[in-house]
Amino acid sequence: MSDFIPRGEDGHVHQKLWVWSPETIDDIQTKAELGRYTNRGLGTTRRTPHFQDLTFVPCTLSRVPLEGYREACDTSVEIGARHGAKPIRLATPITIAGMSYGALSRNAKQALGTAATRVGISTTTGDGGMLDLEREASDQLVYQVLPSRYGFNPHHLRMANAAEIVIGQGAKPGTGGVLLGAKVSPIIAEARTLPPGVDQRSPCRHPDFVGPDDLQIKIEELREATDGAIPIYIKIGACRVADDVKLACKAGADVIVMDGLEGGTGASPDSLMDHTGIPTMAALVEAVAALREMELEGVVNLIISGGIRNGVDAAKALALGADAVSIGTAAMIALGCNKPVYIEDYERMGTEPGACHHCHTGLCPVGITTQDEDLIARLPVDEAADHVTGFLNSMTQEMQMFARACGKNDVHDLEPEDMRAMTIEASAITGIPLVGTDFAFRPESFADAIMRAMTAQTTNGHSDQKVRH
Amino acid sequence: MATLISEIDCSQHTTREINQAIKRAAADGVPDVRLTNPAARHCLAVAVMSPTRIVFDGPVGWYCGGMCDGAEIVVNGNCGWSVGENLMSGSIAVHGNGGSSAGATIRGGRVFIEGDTGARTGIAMKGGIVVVGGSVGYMSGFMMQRGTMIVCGDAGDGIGDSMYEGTVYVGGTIHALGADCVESELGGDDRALLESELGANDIDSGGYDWKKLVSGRKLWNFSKHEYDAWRAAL
Repeated sequence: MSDFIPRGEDGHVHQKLWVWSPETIDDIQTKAELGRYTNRGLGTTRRTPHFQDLTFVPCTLSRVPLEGYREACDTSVEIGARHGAKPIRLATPITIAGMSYGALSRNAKQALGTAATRVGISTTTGDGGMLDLEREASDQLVYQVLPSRYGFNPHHLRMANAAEIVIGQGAKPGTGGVLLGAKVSPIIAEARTLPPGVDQRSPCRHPDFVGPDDLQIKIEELREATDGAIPIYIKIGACRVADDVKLACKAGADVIVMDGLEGGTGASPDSLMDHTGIPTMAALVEAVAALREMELEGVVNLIISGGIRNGVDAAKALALGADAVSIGTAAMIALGCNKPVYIEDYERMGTEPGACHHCHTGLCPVGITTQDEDLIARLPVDEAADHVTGFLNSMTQEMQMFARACGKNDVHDLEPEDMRAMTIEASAITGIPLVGTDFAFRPESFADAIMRAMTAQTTNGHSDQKVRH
Repeated sequence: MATLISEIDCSQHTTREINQAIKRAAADGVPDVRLTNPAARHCLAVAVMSPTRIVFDGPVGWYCGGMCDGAEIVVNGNCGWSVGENLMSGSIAVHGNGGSSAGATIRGGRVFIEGDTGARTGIAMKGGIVVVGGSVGYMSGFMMQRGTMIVCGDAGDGIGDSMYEGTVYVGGTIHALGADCVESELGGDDRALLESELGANDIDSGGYDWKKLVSGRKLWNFSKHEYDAWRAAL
């Protein structure tokens, strides 16, 4: 019976409790069985203030749009020229985020590099070092310098087009990731100088420096190692964003990659993914304000990452002041992550296409987050690269579409004024007026409103004293 | 034709100029580069990829010899943090004291510090040999993956914490072992290695009470039945 209402013997309706929801009950019983916290891949489960909460207000009578499908709209940008290094040239303001060879299969890494090259953007290595196939596939490769230094090789650094010092990740700032034993195959173990099958728990602190003053010397070391030829990026998991941006600028960063709470991971404790960090949109606003305060906007480039799903999110990020966006999870999904094929393999893991976040198991049915040869073979490199290329092109088209509609012939000319907030929360975070009002819910806006009201009262002859009697 | 020796007065040049001159000399096959007045400057002789002998007459700052592959570096003075960081091959000998993180993440080659070093000496080593004539600070050998560290003096708290593999020898007092670091029996091969490695620096290995430390391997894979071992490691 579809209208059956379960009742107990006492006649009361049996309801699911909010605190002790089925998910909470499952979580407790899983931890009781495992004897530890739970790990999983992908990213946070919680709803965050997001670019979704903003809407564009394109040209109408008050402004003139560009022809949507015809007029030129530039998307290119140069990144990392602050200290005279050869900059990264992005044909479209997107980069592929650092994802490790180990968390990802070699086919996935090669396909991402191939797609990035076709589109004219950069891709990034990850924990575990550089894969030769990845270097060959990628015209512009950013080499990560991570706390673990797994697979770090100065010869590879000198082959890179930029270096990225990873201070943290948005999915788990302040904590290293994990690569569970199932994925530490003999090849991956050798690349990382680890015993095969070990549960690898990456460190969060760098081995050779600690604080921001030290970071300045580390950057100098990397510049000396590369003869100053390549830009130095600093990647930060969004927490105390303004302070961190200022410290990274002072340390000498050419580029800051700010990774928000919605950022992805191959495997991490899920409590960290849901309960640490600052959402991407909020982090972006804070980072731009910090750069502006230091008068370094446009000098130190800002790449924003974490939960960027499409060209619309990217266009909104550019409008808020990012120079480019970085995508990781979206690129994986374009490769075929969560695709409805090999359904029985999803079911074997207790999940289904569209809801799989079992990257940590190494059993990825579509060959992306696995080191199993049979599963890797399910991801043909060319076909996967075609899909990522298609997705990247769609992102570019979407960014151009919104820029043209807002009357801009360069996607980087999008600005906050081109948008309105759909929620009070988004308005308070971004300082963009709430739809239907001309009011931004920021502390300074309230102060201005009060001052205006008081001034109006005084002008109209209604002094405080008169009002009070 | 390359000269046999190149001399650089560091006080007359920027760090970039000094490093470029070292790399040029190395590429030209100059076998010996001598540098005066380094004045504890950071990032000297970084990423030199040729088998050249580089001698600093005076103290050097952070990252001296970092990321090198094949060079032989001698420092006649003290050095700052992270000397020989990520060394691939070759050697660094410091005739003085070292800072923290000496020999961090080295993959090959040999780092020798005649005096004491600070915290995290030999952290996350992935191969190679670190030899310290004096004592090492807190958390030395943390997350060591491979290689050998020899400490003639004392070891601060947390020595060998969470090491995956590799071997640490301590000739003095161990203040406290790190998580999952255990003492192992010292055999003939160990004594031969100590004699050979220390002999290379004119140190008699016979005058020490050697302890051999290795991974207990309890932290390799999680077990809820070994929770006491994991309490500090998680």
